[in-house]
Amino acid sequence: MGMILAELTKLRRSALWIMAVVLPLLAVITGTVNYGANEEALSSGWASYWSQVVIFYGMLFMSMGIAVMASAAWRMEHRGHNWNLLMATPARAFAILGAKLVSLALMVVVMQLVLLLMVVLSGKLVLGLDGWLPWHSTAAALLGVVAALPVVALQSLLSMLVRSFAAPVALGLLGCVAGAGVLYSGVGGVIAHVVPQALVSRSLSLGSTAVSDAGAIDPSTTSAVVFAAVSVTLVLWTLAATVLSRGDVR
Amino acid sequence: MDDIITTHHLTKTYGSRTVVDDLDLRVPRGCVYGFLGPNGSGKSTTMKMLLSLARPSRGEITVFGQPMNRDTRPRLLREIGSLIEAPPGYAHLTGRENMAIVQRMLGLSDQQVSRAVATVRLQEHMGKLVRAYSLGMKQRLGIAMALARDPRLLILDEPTNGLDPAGIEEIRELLVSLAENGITVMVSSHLLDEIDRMASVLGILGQGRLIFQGTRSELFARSTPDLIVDTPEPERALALGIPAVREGGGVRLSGLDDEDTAALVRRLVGGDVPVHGVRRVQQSLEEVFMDLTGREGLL
Repeated sequence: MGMILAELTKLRRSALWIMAVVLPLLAVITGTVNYGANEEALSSGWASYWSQVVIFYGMLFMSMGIAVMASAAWRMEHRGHNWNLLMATPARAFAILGAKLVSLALMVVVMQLVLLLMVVLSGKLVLGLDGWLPWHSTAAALLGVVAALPVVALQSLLSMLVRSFAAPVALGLLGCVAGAGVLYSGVGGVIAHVVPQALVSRSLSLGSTAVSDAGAIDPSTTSAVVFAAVSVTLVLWTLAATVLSRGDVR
Repeated sequence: MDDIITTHHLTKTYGSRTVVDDLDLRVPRGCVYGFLGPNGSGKSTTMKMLLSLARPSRGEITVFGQPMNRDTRPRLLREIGSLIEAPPGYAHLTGRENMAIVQRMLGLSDQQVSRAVATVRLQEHMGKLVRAYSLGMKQRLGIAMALARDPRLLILDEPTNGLDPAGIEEIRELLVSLAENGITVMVSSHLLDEIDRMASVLGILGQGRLIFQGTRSELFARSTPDLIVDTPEPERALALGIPAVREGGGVRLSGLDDEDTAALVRRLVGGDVPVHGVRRVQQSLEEVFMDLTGREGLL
């Protein structure tokens, strides 16, 4: 717990918070503009509007936001000889990385809450939609937090290994391209669940009206997403801990 | 006196390059151990291995009588404070927040943190962002971070780097007082004078190898004092081709044992050089050090 609290302290006055607000905001703006411009064709109200918001958010913004946040979080350690401080604590590598993952996951929770809040505000105040955001959209947003864990673990691993800020982000972008390719080429199955960025896209698009084969958000799809997310995260976390505990501090 | 740190054949190689070579260190309990060597001689790498921040290629490390390995590391590091290469710190946070990070990582009490901050006299600056700190303040914060866990052993790598003379004096007094209170301090430097004034035991590293380890007096015992020949005619002495330099009212020669000295005097007298006196003078620590390290670039 102490390591997690230490990580959360590092987030004070951090630019990461800006990312956690700006990226969902961008998604909501693009979704609102798209919906507003095509209101006649998009007749399903909240469901159509939500689909417009999450189609690019799930495919690009969310994963890229995590990539930037992970790079920024590890940059704090790469700079100023903080690796020596971190690794000279009695904590084991698994705990050190776990604390970093938890702090990044909390940022993802904030991103999703901002997304939901902005979607509701924009839907009501800008688009004047009747009723409320359907429950399955809220569920998809929250499932997105779990689905994002492998992206958090992957980007954390890359940012831990590479001192450059931009390189892990660029690799994250490649991951987004690969994820979109996997999802829209209809490969599906296991691959769609083990490519981290594809899993984010898939979970956020559950119940979407913008993706023809999105699938519904039901116990079967939800448990598949959760199982895949937890499994891939554990593999990446263990890999990172192994690398960290066996290597020299640079 | 028992040893807090011992190493046996400690070696670190990167590819074909050996950075630390077959080191057998012995750091006695409760002393200030001065770890001295030119830049690039392997001091930081050695200290990193002692802290398990780098894996030895060969050899063993024992700290507090226990082997340092993956299993014992968490337990041993609870009692070792360190500052390696440069002071750590999160520049976007205040000194207080940086100390809070250390407190949370190590599960320390408020009193431990306050005591460490007070020890380095940084209380007035704890509300400032670390990016606004001077180098001296960053060094003191780094030492406070190392001290907060109430360590039995402190490993400090060049803690006075970049400090002004007053800051160096302050750190020196602090380390000596810590040792007087029972904390073993291992401190590295490439600045001889700095180490000489605080360390009771010296370890001298040259090109990755330990070339001397012991007390100051043991170090001097290994060196041959210089010889001063007092003569009103030093030019005449030098004209004989002896390996000497002019100094005051005579000439100075290095590295002559008793037999060489007798031979020199015979030669001077034979050459009609008036010899008024012959005396030994102790080399400075710097000269001894330079001889030991093969005159590698020492600042």
